[in-house]
Amino acid sequence: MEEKTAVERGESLGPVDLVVSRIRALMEGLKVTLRYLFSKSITMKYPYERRTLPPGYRGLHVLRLDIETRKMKCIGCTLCARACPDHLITIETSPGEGKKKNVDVFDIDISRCMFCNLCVEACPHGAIELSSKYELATETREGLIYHKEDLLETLEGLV
Amino acid sequence: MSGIKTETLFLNMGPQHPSTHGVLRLGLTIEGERVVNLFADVGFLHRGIEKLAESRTYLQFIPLTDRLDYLAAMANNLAFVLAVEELLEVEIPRRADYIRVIVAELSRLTSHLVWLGTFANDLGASTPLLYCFREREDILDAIEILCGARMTFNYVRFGGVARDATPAFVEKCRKFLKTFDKRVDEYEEILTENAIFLSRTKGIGILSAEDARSFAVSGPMLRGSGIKWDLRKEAPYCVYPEMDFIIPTGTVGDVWDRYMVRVIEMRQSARIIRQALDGLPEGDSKAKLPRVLKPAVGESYVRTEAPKGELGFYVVSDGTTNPCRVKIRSPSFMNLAALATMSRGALVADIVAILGSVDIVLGEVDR
Amino acid sequence: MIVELLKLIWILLPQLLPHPVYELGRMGVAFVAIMVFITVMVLFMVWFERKVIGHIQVRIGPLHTGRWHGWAQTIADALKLFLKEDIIPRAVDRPVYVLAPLVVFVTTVVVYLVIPFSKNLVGRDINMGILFVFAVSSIATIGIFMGGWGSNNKYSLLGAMRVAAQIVSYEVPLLLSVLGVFMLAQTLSLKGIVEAQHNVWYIFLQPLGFVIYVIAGIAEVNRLPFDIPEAESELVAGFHTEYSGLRFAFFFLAEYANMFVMAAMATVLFLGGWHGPYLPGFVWFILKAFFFMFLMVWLRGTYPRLRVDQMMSFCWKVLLPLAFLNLLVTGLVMSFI
Repeated sequence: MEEKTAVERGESLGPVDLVVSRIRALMEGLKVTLRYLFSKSITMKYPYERRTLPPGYRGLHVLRLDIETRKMKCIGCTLCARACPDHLITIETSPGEGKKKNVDVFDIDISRCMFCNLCVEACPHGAIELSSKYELATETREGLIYHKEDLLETLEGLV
Repeated sequence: MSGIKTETLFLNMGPQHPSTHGVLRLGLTIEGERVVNLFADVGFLHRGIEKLAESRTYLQFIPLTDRLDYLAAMANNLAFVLAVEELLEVEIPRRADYIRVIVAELSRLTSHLVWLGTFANDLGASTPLLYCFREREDILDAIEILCGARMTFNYVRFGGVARDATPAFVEKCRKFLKTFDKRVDEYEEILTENAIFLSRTKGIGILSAEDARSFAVSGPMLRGSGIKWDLRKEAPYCVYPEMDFIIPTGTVGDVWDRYMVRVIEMRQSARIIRQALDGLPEGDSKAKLPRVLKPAVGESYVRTEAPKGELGFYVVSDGTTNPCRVKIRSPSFMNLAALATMSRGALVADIVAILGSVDIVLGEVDR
Repeated sequence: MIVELLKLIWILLPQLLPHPVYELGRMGVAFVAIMVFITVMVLFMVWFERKVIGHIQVRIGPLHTGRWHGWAQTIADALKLFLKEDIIPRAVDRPVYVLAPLVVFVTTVVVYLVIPFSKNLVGRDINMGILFVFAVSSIATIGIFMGGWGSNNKYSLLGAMRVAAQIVSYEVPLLLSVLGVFMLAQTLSLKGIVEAQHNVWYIFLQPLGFVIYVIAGIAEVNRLPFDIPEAESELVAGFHTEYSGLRFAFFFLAEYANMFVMAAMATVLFLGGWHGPYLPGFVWFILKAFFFMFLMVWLRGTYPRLRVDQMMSFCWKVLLPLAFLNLLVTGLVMSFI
């Protein structure tokens, strides 16, 4: 370490200098706190003030809608369900028109979800994303299981 | 005087205690006020992470590594990813390496800031805690811009990083760094030469260099005892060879030395981040890898300089999508073993200071 | 007109009533006034401390209770304590346990009767005021020890013993530093000491004595950096762990009342009591006492705490010799002037 620390240890100071430097250090600590006493505090008065979240924030899942067809982009490939480390996504499909599948059930259990983003990275179509909704407390355990209807992106979200 | 019979008293600094930084039980054997012996009863936070690795794919295990040293999650991500990349034979783009170094050093800052705040709080000075958390908020805001999360990031990927660093992230980092050195000066003004702080930390909890070596402690604890050993210089990874920074070492190995080492390390981390931001090259942030990852059969061990010490991941692969075995060499677990030696003969009130200077995170100790 | 009438009654009353009745009535009024003052002061002080510590820590303190900066927070906390269930653990030593908060509270409050808030606002100006203040406030130590013993809890007893040792030890330099003031003022009466400072305050004549008094006073009140007994991060739980509700409120009230006694004594002994231009004496007194209260809060927000043995060795090895030195120098200087 630099030689400064030897001085701080007081090893190379005479007794009078030592006492003076200690008292000076005590006063300096008080100066710092006094300065903070008269400066603005950094508290954000939640819930009256809320943070603006950056894009890409990992909050609640949302199933995106296709802009033209106004239907879910999700094709039921279950890649997201297989990517989830804790197997929290439940998908049930039934045959639709042609080779396509209708997604009947799309449940996410967020009581154990880590919001790790692996389901989003696994999806080949960008059908599932993590939005910026973070106030997710509910009063029942069942309220923590989100179904397809709860996860669908609202139409106002579309430009 | 031989007629007086004395007994030692066994005291529990139980799992719930404001100063044990988590669920740690310390069994103290004290004689009067002096500690004769001490043992650490760990395992209250054991979650079986190493076993869980066997039923997850390599990619799915990365979020679990976040939960080891949860105060510096990127460092854990990085160590595991480096260990698996040894079996993968992939070339990391330079931009990804630089971003990895930036987030690793940011993690070091978040870890040391929490350490400083809680250490000062244990000793009674409650204000540095709030100041350190203010700095931490700025860092977490920057990382939130980068990867969307504030504490468990799941950011480092095989071949690079998950998302590219945007100009908003770079600008937020620079803004934070502009005031950071002055803030560290403030912490030092309150603590470093304070007579009360010195009397609580000078000469307390001495760990000699031979003891440090024999207990395999690492990180700031090792450097505090005078041994100049930092894996970023001895066994460098990512782009650390291109970074310019000093390794602080202590002289005596007491609590004050370890405190000084970590404070200087904070300044050096800020220095490294500045250099990495200035030298951030263009390019990809992630190399292309197959979607289904099957590393070569074999085993690898990679050790990194995590904020708490030497974090090592030993990965055994049998060619399938899931690892066969993942063993985590966690620095806090090894450092905690030296606690008994350091606290023999100390007063009960000093145990709090010594434990604070070891800087453990129970998530890492118990896994 | 009414003011003149009241003043007339005020002057005539001692002559009209028989002396004991007048004195008793006066003491009664003084006591009520003191209780009201203590209550208001503690309510304000707790809120003030939380706000100041909050702003030192770059955060706001209480905010919502009472709309304006949370001024009603302490009232809410006090109400909560009053409405709590009165729990008396089964194995406690009942009389000791019940009396302890009362002993501490009463001895702290009684002291207010001799403190001169201004020239005419004294409960009763005893001619050995200093002695009375320090003697009665020492009895509080017994109360603390009763609290620790009566709780029937190994750790409470340990904590109580530490507090008792701390208070008793720091009283020695405290009193020695006050002796210098006594030598200068030639009287023990508090009103007399203030009046003796009408030319120059004793802080300028006794700087070392002032510093020693402040440090020892902070240690007497168990404030940071001397607050080992109350520290939650240490092992022992403290003498008031087994107390809750109204009993705990008494301890809490007594602590802040004690803080004000120390501050008031510092004002009276070293800062010239009620002397000051323009404003009425009472206002000056309160302002000066509040400076000391602010100092105690400021120190709490800044410094770490001393270990018990460091605290004791600081008292006996640093403060005591300095106090003796102060006494010696004062005596020498006075004998040559």
